[in-house]
Amino acid sequence: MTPEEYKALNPQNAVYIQVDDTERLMTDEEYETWVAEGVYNSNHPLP
Amino acid sequence: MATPPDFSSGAVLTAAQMNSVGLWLVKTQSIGSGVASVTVTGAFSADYDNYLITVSGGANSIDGNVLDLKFGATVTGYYFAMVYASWNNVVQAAGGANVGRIDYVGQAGTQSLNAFIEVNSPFLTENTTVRASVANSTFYGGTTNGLLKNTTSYTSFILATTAGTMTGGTIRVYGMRN
Repeated sequence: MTPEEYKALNPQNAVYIQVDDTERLMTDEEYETWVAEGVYNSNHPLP
Repeated sequence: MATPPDFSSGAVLTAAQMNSVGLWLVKTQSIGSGVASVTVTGAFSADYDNYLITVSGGANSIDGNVLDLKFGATVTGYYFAMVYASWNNVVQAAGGANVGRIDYVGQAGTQSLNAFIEVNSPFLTENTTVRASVANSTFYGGTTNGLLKNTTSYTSFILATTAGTMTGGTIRVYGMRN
Protein backbone atom coordinates (compact mmCIF):
# COMPACT_ATOMS: atom_id res chain seq x y z
CA MET A 1 0.00 0.00 0.00
CA THR A 2 1.29 3.45 -0.88
CA PRO A 3 0.78 6.61 1.21
CA GLU A 4 -1.55 7.89 -1.51
CA GLU A 5 -3.65 4.75 -1.35
CA TYR A 6 -3.72 4.92 2.46
CA LYS A 7 -4.78 8.56 2.38
CA ALA A 8 -7.52 7.75 -0.11
CA LEU A 9 -8.87 5.13 2.29
CA ASN A 10 -8.42 7.41 5.31
CA PRO A 11 -8.81 11.07 4.29
CA GLN A 12 -7.59 13.62 6.81
CA ASN A 13 -11.09 15.04 7.32
CA ALA A 14 -12.34 11.64 8.48
CA VAL A 15 -9.67 10.54 10.97
CA TYR A 16 -10.10 11.57 14.58
CA ILE A 17 -8.15 11.58 17.82
CA GLN A 18 -10.44 10.90 20.75
CA VAL A 19 -9.90 11.99 24.36
CA ASP A 20 -12.68 10.64 26.56
CA ASP A 21 -15.88 11.82 24.80
CA THR A 22 -14.19 14.58 22.76
CA GLU A 23 -12.96 14.03 19.20
CA ARG A 24 -10.81 16.25 17.01
CA LEU A 25 -9.25 16.03 13.57
CA MET A 26 -5.49 15.54 13.27
CA THR A 27 -3.11 18.37 12.50
CA ASP A 28 -1.21 18.09 9.23
CA GLU A 29 1.90 16.88 11.06
CA GLU A 30 -0.04 14.32 13.12
CA TYR A 31 -1.78 13.06 10.00
CA GLU A 32 1.45 12.60 8.01
CA THR A 33 3.05 10.73 10.91
CA TRP A 34 -0.05 8.58 11.32
CA VAL A 35 -0.14 7.78 7.58
CA ALA A 36 3.54 6.80 7.58
CA GLU A 37 3.02 4.43 10.54
CA GLY A 38 -0.13 2.93 9.04
CA VAL A 39 1.52 2.36 5.66
CA TYR A 40 4.55 0.77 7.32
CA ASN A 41 2.39 -1.50 9.48
CA SER A 42 0.22 -2.47 6.51
CA ASN A 43 3.27 -3.33 4.42
CA HIS A 44 5.08 -5.26 7.20
CA PRO A 45 2.75 -7.93 8.57
CA LEU A 46 4.14 -10.53 10.93
CA PRO A 47 5.91 -13.39 9.14
CA MET B 1 -28.32 -11.97 55.35
CA ALA B 2 -26.92 -12.31 51.86
CA THR B 3 -24.30 -14.98 51.30
CA PRO B 4 -21.92 -14.25 48.42
CA PRO B 5 -21.90 -15.22 45.66
CA ASP B 6 -25.60 -16.12 45.83
CA PHE B 7 -27.98 -13.25 46.49
CA SER B 8 -31.74 -13.05 46.76
CA SER B 9 -34.00 -10.17 45.84
CA GLY B 10 -33.97 -7.48 48.50
CA ALA B 11 -30.98 -8.91 50.32
CA VAL B 12 -28.91 -6.37 52.24
CA LEU B 13 -25.16 -6.45 51.67
CA THR B 14 -22.85 -5.57 54.53
CA ALA B 15 -19.83 -3.32 54.16
CA ALA B 16 -17.61 -6.35 54.65
CA GLN B 17 -19.33 -8.13 51.79
CA MET B 18 -19.13 -5.12 49.48
CA ASN B 19 -15.49 -4.61 50.43
CA SER B 20 -14.76 -8.14 49.29
CA VAL B 21 -15.93 -7.45 45.74
CA GLY B 22 -12.81 -8.18 43.74
CA LEU B 23 -13.41 -6.36 40.46
CA TRP B 24 -14.94 -2.91 40.33
CA LEU B 25 -15.95 -1.06 37.15
CA VAL B 26 -14.00 2.20 37.22
CA LYS B 27 -14.86 3.68 33.84
CA THR B 28 -16.73 2.93 30.61
CA GLN B 29 -15.67 4.74 27.44
CA SER B 30 -17.48 4.48 24.12
CA ILE B 31 -15.32 4.60 20.99
CA GLY B 32 -16.40 7.17 18.42
CA SER B 33 -16.43 6.96 14.62
CA GLY B 34 -13.27 7.03 12.47
CA VAL B 35 -11.02 7.13 15.51
CA ALA B 36 -7.27 6.46 15.26
CA SER B 37 -6.67 6.53 19.02
CA VAL B 38 -8.62 6.88 22.24
CA THR B 39 -7.24 8.48 25.38
CA VAL B 40 -9.00 7.35 28.55
CA THR B 41 -8.43 9.70 31.47
CA GLY B 42 -9.22 9.10 35.12
CA ALA B 43 -8.58 5.39 34.72
CA PHE B 44 -5.98 4.76 37.42
CA SER B 45 -5.84 6.05 40.98
CA ALA B 46 -4.67 5.24 44.47
CA ASP B 47 -7.80 3.13 44.94
CA TYR B 48 -6.30 0.13 43.10
CA ASP B 49 -2.84 -1.23 42.35
CA ASN B 50 -3.94 -3.52 39.49
CA TYR B 51 -6.43 -3.14 36.66
CA LEU B 52 -8.19 -4.93 33.85
CA ILE B 53 -8.91 -3.11 30.58
CA THR B 54 -11.34 -4.69 28.12
CA VAL B 55 -12.39 -3.71 24.61
CA SER B 56 -15.41 -5.23 22.87
CA GLY B 57 -17.79 -4.38 20.06
CA GLY B 58 -16.99 -2.03 17.20
CA ALA B 59 -14.69 -2.66 14.25
CA ASN B 60 -11.53 -1.48 12.53
CA SER B 61 -11.61 -0.11 8.99
CA ILE B 62 -8.75 -2.38 7.85
CA ASP B 63 -8.72 -6.07 8.74
CA GLY B 64 -5.94 -7.96 10.51
CA ASN B 65 -4.61 -5.14 12.67
CA VAL B 66 -3.86 -4.93 16.37
CA LEU B 67 -4.24 -2.49 19.23
CA ASP B 68 -1.31 -0.82 20.93
CA LEU B 69 -1.06 0.82 24.34
CA LYS B 70 0.63 3.85 25.87
CA PHE B 71 0.38 5.37 29.34
CA GLY B 72 -0.08 9.09 29.94
CA ALA B 73 2.10 11.10 27.54
CA THR B 74 5.06 8.72 27.71
CA VAL B 75 6.51 7.78 24.30
CA THR B 76 9.68 5.94 25.30
CA GLY B 77 10.80 3.17 27.62
CA TYR B 78 8.35 0.50 26.56
CA TYR B 79 9.43 -3.13 26.23
CA PHE B 80 7.26 -5.93 24.92
CA ALA B 81 7.41 -9.46 23.62
CA MET B 82 4.67 -11.44 21.92
CA VAL B 83 4.93 -15.15 21.32
CA TYR B 84 2.51 -16.18 18.64
CA ALA B 85 1.56 -19.05 16.42
CA SER B 86 -0.06 -18.86 13.07
CA TRP B 87 -3.23 -20.88 12.92
CA ASN B 88 -1.20 -23.72 11.48
CA ASN B 89 0.89 -23.90 14.71
CA VAL B 90 4.15 -22.34 13.53
CA VAL B 91 5.50 -20.68 16.70
CA GLN B 92 7.28 -17.33 16.30
CA ALA B 93 7.82 -14.13 18.26
CA ALA B 94 7.82 -10.36 17.88
CA GLY B 95 8.90 -7.63 20.24
CA GLY B 96 10.51 -4.29 20.92
CA ALA B 97 12.98 -2.82 23.44
CA ASN B 98 12.83 0.80 24.62
CA VAL B 99 10.21 1.65 22.00
CA GLY B 100 7.32 4.10 21.95
CA ARG B 101 4.42 1.82 22.87
CA ILE B 102 3.39 -1.71 23.72
CA ASP B 103 2.11 -3.42 20.59
CA TYR B 104 -0.16 -6.46 20.32
CA VAL B 105 -2.46 -5.80 23.27
CA GLY B 106 -5.65 -6.54 21.33
CA GLN B 107 -7.25 -7.38 18.04
CA ALA B 108 -8.54 -4.81 15.52
CA GLY B 109 -10.39 -6.43 12.65
CA THR B 110 -13.24 -5.47 10.38
CA GLN B 111 -15.64 -7.62 12.38
CA SER B 112 -14.60 -6.78 15.93
CA LEU B 113 -12.31 -4.99 18.36
CA ASN B 114 -11.17 -7.23 21.21
CA ALA B 115 -8.83 -6.78 24.12
CA PHE B 116 -8.38 -8.19 27.62
CA ILE B 117 -5.42 -6.40 29.19
CA GLU B 118 -4.06 -6.87 32.70
CA VAL B 119 -2.17 -3.85 34.02
CA ASN B 120 -0.03 -3.90 37.15
CA SER B 121 0.92 -0.76 39.09
CA PRO B 122 0.18 2.05 36.62
CA PHE B 123 -0.52 4.52 39.43
CA LEU B 124 2.26 3.38 41.74
CA THR B 125 5.69 4.98 41.39
CA GLU B 126 7.27 1.82 40.03
CA ASN B 127 7.48 -0.05 36.73
CA THR B 128 4.15 -0.74 35.02
CA THR B 129 3.65 -4.19 33.50
CA VAL B 130 1.07 -5.54 31.09
CA ARG B 131 -0.21 -8.93 29.97
CA ALA B 132 -2.52 -9.27 26.99
CA SER B 133 -3.34 -11.44 24.03
CA VAL B 134 -4.20 -11.13 20.36
CA ALA B 135 -6.51 -13.40 18.42
CA ASN B 136 -5.71 -11.82 15.09
CA SER B 137 -8.46 -11.77 12.49
CA THR B 138 -6.21 -12.92 9.66
CA PHE B 139 -3.65 -15.51 10.65
CA TYR B 140 -2.32 -15.82 14.21
CA GLY B 141 -2.89 -15.88 17.95
CA GLY B 142 -0.38 -14.57 20.48
CA THR B 143 0.32 -13.64 24.10
CA THR B 144 2.02 -10.37 24.98
CA ASN B 145 4.07 -9.28 27.99
CA GLY B 146 4.84 -5.59 28.27
CA LEU B 147 6.90 -3.37 30.55
CA LEU B 148 7.07 0.38 30.94
CA LYS B 149 10.45 0.93 32.55
CA ASN B 150 10.04 4.07 34.60
CA THR B 151 8.56 5.07 37.97
CA THR B 152 6.00 7.58 36.72
CA SER B 153 2.52 7.49 38.22
CA TYR B 154 -0.19 7.36 35.54
CA THR B 155 -3.90 8.16 35.58
CA SER B 156 -4.61 7.71 31.86
CA PHE B 157 -3.81 5.48 28.89
CA ILE B 158 -4.08 5.58 25.09
CA LEU B 159 -5.33 2.72 22.94
CA ALA B 160 -4.70 2.96 19.20
CA THR B 161 -5.02 0.78 16.14
CA THR B 162 -1.90 0.07 14.09
CA ALA B 163 -3.59 0.93 10.78
CA GLY B 164 -6.95 2.32 9.75
CA THR B 165 -9.51 3.66 12.20
CA MET B 166 -11.87 2.29 14.83
CA THR B 167 -15.60 2.83 14.91
CA GLY B 168 -17.84 1.83 17.78
CA GLY B 169 -17.15 -0.51 20.63
CA THR B 170 -16.57 0.04 24.32
CA ILE B 171 -13.50 0.32 26.52
CA ARG B 172 -14.05 -0.73 30.11
CA VAL B 173 -11.60 -0.25 32.98
CA TYR B 174 -11.90 -2.37 36.12
CA GLY B 175 -9.95 -1.98 39.33
CA MET B 176 -8.89 -5.10 41.20
CA ARG B 177 -9.36 -4.72 44.93
CA ASN B 178 -6.10 -4.45 46.84
